[in-house]
Amino acid sequence: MAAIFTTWKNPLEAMIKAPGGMRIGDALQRADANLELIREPCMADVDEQLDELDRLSAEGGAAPDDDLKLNIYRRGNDIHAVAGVFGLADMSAAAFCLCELVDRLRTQAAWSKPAVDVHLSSLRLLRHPNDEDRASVVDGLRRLTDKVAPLGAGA
Amino acid sequence: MTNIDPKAWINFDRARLLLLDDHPQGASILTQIIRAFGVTQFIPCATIAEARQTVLEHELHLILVNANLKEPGVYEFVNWLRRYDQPPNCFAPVILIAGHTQKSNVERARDSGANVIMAKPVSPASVLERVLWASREKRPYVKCATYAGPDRRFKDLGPPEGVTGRRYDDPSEAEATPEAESRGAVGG
Repeated sequence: MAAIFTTWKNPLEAMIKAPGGMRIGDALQRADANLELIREPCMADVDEQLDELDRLSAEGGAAPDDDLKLNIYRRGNDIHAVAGVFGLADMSAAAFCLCELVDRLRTQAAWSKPAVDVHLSSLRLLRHPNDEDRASVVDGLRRLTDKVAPLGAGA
Repeated sequence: MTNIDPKAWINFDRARLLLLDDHPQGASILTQIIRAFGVTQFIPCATIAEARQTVLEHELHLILVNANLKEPGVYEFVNWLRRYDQPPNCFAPVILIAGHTQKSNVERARDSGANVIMAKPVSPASVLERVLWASREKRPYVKCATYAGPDRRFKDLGPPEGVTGRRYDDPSEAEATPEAESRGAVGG
C-alpha cells in the first residue's frame, strides 16, 4: 500500500479564535477553583488505593501471579496521575517509581516484595510530607529500582 | 508556566470534545479542567465501545484519551479512528494522556496516530497548552500499511543555533561550506 497524504484544515483553531469566550488567565483560575472542589474525594481515593496496595503486596507474598503484579502497577499509575494534580509531586514521582519497578520486574518474570514494600512505605510518608528531605526519598527509590531490577536484565 | 499568554482569549463554545477515560478520578480531573475552559459540548466515555459509538454518531473536534485504560485496546482505538475514513472525525486531533507507560507499549503509543502524547500528572496550563498546540496542527495526515496519523517527519533544521554540528552534512555545516554555496549559486 502506497502512502497517502491528506491535507486537512482543522476547524478547532478557528473555533477557539472566534469572538467571545474568555481570557486564558480567567480560564486557568476557574480550572484551579474547579479542581479544589474535587480535591477531597480524589485524596480519599488515593488513600483507598494505598490501603489496597498494602493488601495486595501482603496477599502476593514473595511470588505473586502476573494479575496481581498488574493490579499493583495500575493502582500505582492511578496514584501517580492524581497525587501530582493536588500538589503532592513527590508522592506522584514515588508512584511512578513503583510503576517502573513493577514493570521491570514483570518483564524479568521476577519479584521483590521488600523493594515493593519500601515504595509503599515511601508513598505513605509522602502522602503527608512534613520534612524537607522528601525529594531524597524519591532519589532513593530510583536507586533501589536500578539495583533490584536493572534495565536490560532478564529481558 | 508555559508559552500561553494569560491575556489571550479562547472560545470553546462550538467545540465538541470526547474524553475516553475509565479512571473516575482521572476523568473527573480532566472534566473540571475542560469545563473551566468553557467547553459545553463534552462527551465522556468510560469504555472503548462507547467511544467508538460516539465517533460514529457525533462530529468531534478534539479527542482526549487516557492511555492507561484498564481495558486493552486503547492504541487500537486511535488507529481505528485514523483508518475510519470519515472526515472530520478521522482527522480530529487526539491527545493521548499517559502516566507510566509499560516498556512493551512505548512504541505502540508512538505509532498509534495520536497528535500529542502528554504526560500525567496534568495541570490546567499543560492541558490548555497541548490543546492549543493540537488545534494549530498543520501537518498532513499520512496513511500507509503500517501507520495512519499525522505525518511524524519534521523538517531537519540541523543543530540548534550556536551549536556546531557533529556531522559533515548537518544543514548548518553544509550551508557554511564553499561547496554548498556554489551549489546554491548554480541553483541546484
